Amino acid sequence: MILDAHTHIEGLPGCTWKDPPEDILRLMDEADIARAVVMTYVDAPGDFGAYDPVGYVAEAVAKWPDRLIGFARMDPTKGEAAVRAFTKAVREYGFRGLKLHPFGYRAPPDGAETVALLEAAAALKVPALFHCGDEDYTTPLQLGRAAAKVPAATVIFGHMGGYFHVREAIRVAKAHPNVVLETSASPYPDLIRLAVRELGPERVLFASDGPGCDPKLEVKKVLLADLERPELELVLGRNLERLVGKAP
Amino acid sequence: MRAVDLHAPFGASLHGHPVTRRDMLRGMDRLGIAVSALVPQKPPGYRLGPATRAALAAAARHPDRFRAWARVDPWQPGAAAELAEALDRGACGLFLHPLEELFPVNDPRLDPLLGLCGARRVPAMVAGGHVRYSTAWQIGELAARHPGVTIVATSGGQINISGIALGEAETMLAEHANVLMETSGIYREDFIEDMAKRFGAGRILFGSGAPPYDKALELHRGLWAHLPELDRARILAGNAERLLKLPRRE
Repeated sequence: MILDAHTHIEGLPGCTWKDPPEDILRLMDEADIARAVVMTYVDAPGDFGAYDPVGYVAEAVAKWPDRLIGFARMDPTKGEAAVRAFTKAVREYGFRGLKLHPFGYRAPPDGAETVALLEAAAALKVPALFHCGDEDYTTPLQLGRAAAKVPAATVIFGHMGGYFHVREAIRVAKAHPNVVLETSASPYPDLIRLAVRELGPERVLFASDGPGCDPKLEVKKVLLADLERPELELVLGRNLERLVGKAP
Repeated sequence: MRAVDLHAPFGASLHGHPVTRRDMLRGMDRLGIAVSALVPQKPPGYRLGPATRAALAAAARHPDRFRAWARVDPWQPGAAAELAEALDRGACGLFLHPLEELFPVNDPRLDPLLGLCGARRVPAMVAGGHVRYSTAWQIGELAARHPGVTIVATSGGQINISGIALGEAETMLAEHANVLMETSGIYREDFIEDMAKRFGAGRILFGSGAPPYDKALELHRGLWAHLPELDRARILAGNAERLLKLPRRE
């Protein structure tokens, strides 16, 4: 069974990347993906008029509880309001994780406000997925500092370092046992294989970053990594299921 | 579906991924790639002239399977002469790697090289999407100075995993009809699909960039694109056949 650790839905009026849940569900079906983590592109809490990003994800998950898993994408610079909103998302709406995209809100990942959210995630026993690429505030060395500050948090490096920081992501993950790598969008099957060899198959998660990235192609990428069957089963689904639980 | 790889790194490699003729043919046959346009890799000795000559020799040996780009370092004296010689020997166009050779692609020092491409009616392909060296804005400025030269931006001119360069890459295509986009390592497959719908599949070409990318993965970007079969056929082979002036097939 394939589980996707990173996909998007978005309902913000006027957003260039407006992606209703039906889009990712269609691509999941094409790729034989059973369940997927969904999150918005916009950070909450924010000033979006009547639009509520957390509510949008909550509605989608409520409609497709056996297919979609909610992660709350938060803006730590909103301080206590972000922690409250995130905690509510998990406790009241059943969200199973936190998403952070520091390049968007321009704050260092090991700053006090982000650490507060990571501590909340750890207390709620849900993972935190960071965008981990080549941009300011998102490189593996920077995220590693956040992971070190909250060793009780499971920190997922989304995109496993992007285009130019993948080997660095693997080194940082080796140094921090609470870090796992996620495969979406980074175009190197050979580095997925290296990550599995260096970290163990339990610490690498399949993800697509769909619908922008094609989930079927992203699955193909993992298959091209030439993993052993037990490793593949872990990477393609069991690892994420361990982190987010089985479908209701 | 027939495939022509517009961007096939070849030869000795400073970065530890050499590709021999045999490697290339084996990889092509495994995946059903009919023709590859060899891009000389930066060799351990840093000298691009011999690397280009090796690619040209491979192309001469397998004229039905290979073409070869001429890779030139515009910092080197005699760069234009080196390009001219390579074109005389059958190079299909000019390949530029602004990041590896450390020059902004819109630097005026490139003008004699692009002028030669224009005079010889050959394209230029730029390793695109590198901050400070080959962003879509920079490729666009180069294209504006040389409107008669077809310029291919690898990776669609955008390799940013946040997606923040998608908009500028789209603007590059909108404002410069002489720019085409190649798909190696590109961020987001819906970008390929959206650009095909907006500008036509004729502006998009398959290239693997492998190594360091993975040839099979890159081929499947085009094979599995959510586009009509005719568009995918153009992206995978038809556009490159026209650009490289490959012989018409019966």
